Amino acid sequence: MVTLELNQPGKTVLMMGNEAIARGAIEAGVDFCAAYPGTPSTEIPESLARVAERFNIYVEWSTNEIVALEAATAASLAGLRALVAMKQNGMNVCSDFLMTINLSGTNGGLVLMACDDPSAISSSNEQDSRSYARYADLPLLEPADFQEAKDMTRWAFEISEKLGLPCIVRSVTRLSHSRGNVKLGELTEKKRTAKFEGVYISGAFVAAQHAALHQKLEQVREDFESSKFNFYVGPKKAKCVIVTCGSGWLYSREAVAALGLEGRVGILKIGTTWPLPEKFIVEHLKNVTEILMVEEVDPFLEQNIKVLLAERAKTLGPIEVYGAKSGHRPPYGEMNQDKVAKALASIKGLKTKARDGKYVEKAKELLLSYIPIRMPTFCTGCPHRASMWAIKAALKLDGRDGFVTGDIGCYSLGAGPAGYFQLKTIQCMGAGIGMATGFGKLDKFGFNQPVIAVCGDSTFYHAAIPALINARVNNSNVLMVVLDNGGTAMTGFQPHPGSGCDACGRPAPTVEIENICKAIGVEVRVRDPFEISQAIHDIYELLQGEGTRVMIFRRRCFRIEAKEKLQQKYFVDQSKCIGDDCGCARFCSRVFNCPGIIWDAEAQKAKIDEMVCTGCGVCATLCPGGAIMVRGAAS
Amino acid sequence: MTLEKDPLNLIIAGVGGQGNILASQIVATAGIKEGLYVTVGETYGASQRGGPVMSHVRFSAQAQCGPLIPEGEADIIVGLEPIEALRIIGDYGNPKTRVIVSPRPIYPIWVLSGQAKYPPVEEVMQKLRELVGEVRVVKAIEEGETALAANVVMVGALAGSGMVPIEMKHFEDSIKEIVSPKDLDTNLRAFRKGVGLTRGKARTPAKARKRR
Amino acid sequence: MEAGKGSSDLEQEVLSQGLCTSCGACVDICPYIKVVKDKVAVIEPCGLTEGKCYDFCPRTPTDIAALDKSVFGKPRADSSLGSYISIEMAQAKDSELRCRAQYGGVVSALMKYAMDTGEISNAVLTKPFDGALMPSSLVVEEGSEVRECAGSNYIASATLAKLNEATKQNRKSIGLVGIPCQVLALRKMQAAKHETGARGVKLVIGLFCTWALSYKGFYEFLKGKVDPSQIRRIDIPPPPANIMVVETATGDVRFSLDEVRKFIKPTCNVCYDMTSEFADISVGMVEGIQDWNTLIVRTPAGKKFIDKAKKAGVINTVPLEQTRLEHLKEASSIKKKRAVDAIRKRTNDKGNLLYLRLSAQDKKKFL
Repeated sequence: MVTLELNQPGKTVLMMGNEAIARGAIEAGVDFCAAYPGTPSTEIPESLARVAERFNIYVEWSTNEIVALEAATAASLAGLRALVAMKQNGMNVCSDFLMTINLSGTNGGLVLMACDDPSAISSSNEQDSRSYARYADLPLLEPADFQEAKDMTRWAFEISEKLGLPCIVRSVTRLSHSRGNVKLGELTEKKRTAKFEGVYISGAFVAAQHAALHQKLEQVREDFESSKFNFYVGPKKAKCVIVTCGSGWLYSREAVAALGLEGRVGILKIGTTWPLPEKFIVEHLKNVTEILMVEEVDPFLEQNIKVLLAERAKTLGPIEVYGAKSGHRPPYGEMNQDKVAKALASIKGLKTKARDGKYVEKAKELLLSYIPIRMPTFCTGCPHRASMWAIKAALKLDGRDGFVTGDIGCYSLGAGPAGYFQLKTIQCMGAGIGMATGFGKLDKFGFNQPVIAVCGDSTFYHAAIPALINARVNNSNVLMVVLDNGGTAMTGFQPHPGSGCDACGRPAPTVEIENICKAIGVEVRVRDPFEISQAIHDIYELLQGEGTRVMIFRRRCFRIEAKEKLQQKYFVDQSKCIGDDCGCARFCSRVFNCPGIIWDAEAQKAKIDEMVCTGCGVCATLCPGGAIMVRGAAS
Repeated sequence: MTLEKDPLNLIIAGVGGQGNILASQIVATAGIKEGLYVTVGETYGASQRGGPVMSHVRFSAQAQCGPLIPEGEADIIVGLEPIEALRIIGDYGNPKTRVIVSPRPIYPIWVLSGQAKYPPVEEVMQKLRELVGEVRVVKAIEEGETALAANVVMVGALAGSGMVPIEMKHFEDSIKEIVSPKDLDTNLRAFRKGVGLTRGKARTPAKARKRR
Repeated sequence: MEAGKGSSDLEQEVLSQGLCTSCGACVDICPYIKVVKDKVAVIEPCGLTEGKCYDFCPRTPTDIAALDKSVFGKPRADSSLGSYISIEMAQAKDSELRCRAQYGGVVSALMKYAMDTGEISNAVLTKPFDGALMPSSLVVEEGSEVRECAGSNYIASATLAKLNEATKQNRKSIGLVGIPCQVLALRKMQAAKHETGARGVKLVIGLFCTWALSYKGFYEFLKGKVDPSQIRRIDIPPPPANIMVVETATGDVRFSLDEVRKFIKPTCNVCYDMTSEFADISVGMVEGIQDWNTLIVRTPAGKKFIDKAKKAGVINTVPLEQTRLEHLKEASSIKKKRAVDAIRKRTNDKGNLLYLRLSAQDKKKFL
């Protein structure tokens, strides 16, 4: 991205929130970045990787988030400035390290980007990671717009260095993945050299360490009291104030304007969400009788404000707090301007701007009964479609009511129609094989259903290995199917230890999945899932076995293949298409369900949708009539 | 500069994989060059795998907008796919919303598997017209043509329609900034083709209905 | 044949009832039904209410008399053995072939002869023990390949699945060796209203069969006694021995047949056909005579072919003693009676004979 490296301080550019964060880190002179891909954080390390050489930054895709945090902390201990970025689940993965490094402290600025995904648009859970700041006694910043994303990230390094603690900056999908105006700042010249000295042992004299930690927090609270990221807008003596942070700021501002309440309702915007700038807040609530809390997702700020209000009850007098607890906003899911406007209107006894009634009714009717639902599916050409079909067929052939435990990745869509509803469980990274190793030991309780644990390649390196060892050592009856498509695909095909290149595109050694399996001592087979008949056979055969077995379905993500190489174009020879008749019954479009093949209602035959098909050719091998051909090939 | 409506709200709606993110990026960057505050809110993640996706692009001369357009406040909808335009228009449209839509269907997998029906495209256009005043059908791809950069054709159609107060030059400069050099030629041609499909052309519903 | 039923009915009436013979007639016609080893399963309901799979299956309603008419042109004269022109004893002239084979080597000799002389251009045969115990069916293109397929199998291989696969390439002149259920299914395919490549089968040699074993159970059992990959031949000597002999590279293992009977496929208990009554030619063993086969010629096409083979000196024949013939008829009748009894035990209804539609005459004899 050209804008990222621009040396034009003061110029306004369009930036994604994540790019702005990366730019903030660059302006702070970041040296080291480690991360594991995770929506909505992925573009942060990706952006830094693109300019790594220019700014002399080391950028790494680590095997998982805790390793990423540990590696980055090493850089910090050596006096460098380091950045780690992750999605909410990554916070859970690195929490053990977080809960120790807070005690033993850091050196060079260490910034931890926690990117939450309210409404779980691309996640297997909804979680508000801000609680980690309170839990670990660490400073927390929450940018409210794109400019703050850049400026706060930059400031976070200073905070971290001053305290000798990691500083958490929390973003959400609507900030990280949205784009907006950012005025560029100045680039720094870096002069740091890495050197390690000192001792960092957490738990040594923990009382002293813990007390020191608390003291650091009080120290930074003082700085937060005067931070420009905390501000108030609105009438001087407003009785009603919205207290908000993060993404809530823009929603609140618009809601107040939409209701015409700029003269009556103020907005207290907090940027330094933990520890609370208590004096600042109390100062602005002196005349207030009611506040509306607007934030995503948990009532984190709300509850902390309530504690503050309780502590200062004598000074402030009674203040009504509306928010999640009072039911004025839902305590789950993402916020938007409509939800804030609705809450504010109900508090003020107003009506929100009504929509055209007839219009809304017509539209509702359309959505309910007319517009077909569009479920997400595997991309055309995706090897997972073939793998799921092979697993489905094999389980049906086996006939013992076997089932599949799932994991995190593109193949998670296998829980839906894309994967013929094969996946029956999905939790976190590695949970598929983790749970399967338990299922595989239930035979003494009469359990006789075969269990398949599906796991991606990146997931394998990230989290699956300990569970696989567990399965092997306990002789658990489980078939693990590793879907190896060559990269971390769901987040944009980042390299992993099997890919052979690093975050900056340079060649890197590989650690082969089958070698790890062999070292663990389990039977392992490798197969291209596009060889569907043999794939079905392999799975079936493995299902008849006992103990821990591994099948690797290996084929490169087709989205990448299609981008790199011009693919063949396929078409349906409708004279050969069996279509609705016995022998086919629209197998390709209806059952295999690749969106690249549609039904030509006029001809009553199948047809390749050239706008969607990417030319993988699997349907041609499956067509019972041999009707799908390559254009231009000799018949 | 001032906008006739501030903020001016645009939604680009389509199917994951159609390239609505690139389309919104071009439009938004052009808006920044025009000196406006621009906010783009986008769907990422699993929906990108063939699910419905939308980009909210909001222009303001006054201040940075939030990333999501409030219900019923979309001024312009660019539909890269017919039923996606219809899906969006319910929550976000109003009778004054102006629509530019490609008539080329992309069939959802539940339609292909027989669990849902895809209505005839003419009917979808009719439903759109029952809701809003202006619907421009733009054939981004001709039958038999390769679908290269159909999303950028639609950006061109938007630019040519004059619905957003952004200079043509800013659109083209944005494309040059964003698109990789090897794809630049294709994308510029696509953009100009789109401009040609709407520029100077009044809304002609009868003609649009004739198109298949 | 009764009116239209499809794969869901096939699943309900045959597959889930343990009645599947693993003949493979329903496999490889479409993507929805597959076979692995001897296990047939419907992977996904196709949604059609009538189809080939149901009509081709040897365990869906089968009008025996109607099939007699369509294959032989007339009702059967002999209710215990079905239609035939001649029954004699035969053996392959080629002693090496006889060694390789189980008994008289007649099937291998005839098939080889048919291929060599262009009587047929390919044959669907079954090879024993391809890998771990399971026989596998294959399409043979050269006469020299027939030798590999010599030997008896005690597990049913989905031969007709291979036929379905082979006929996709429009082959017109095919030979097939099958067991009674497979031959029955083949004739149903040829008589059906559907388009099918099965009509390209010009020569059908059916084997005698009393039962087949289920692969999974038998394999697990055998695994405990021998290394399945070392098996060279499996044999069941004639009564009263009541044993099974498994020849391996490292020696023979014998055990009582009683240990093995529990692996007999349930569908064999309701089987009405011991001698492949619908084949062109049926071949089985002769009790007590190791080196000879019983040869039943049934159709004019079969007779024409056998006469040619005899003339060419491919097989030797001698008449079958009357006592042996009576014995054969009795054995076949006992199988039919047992089948009908087993069916009635299942259905508990005299009027419901599952797949069998018997003529009044046969009902009288075996009900």
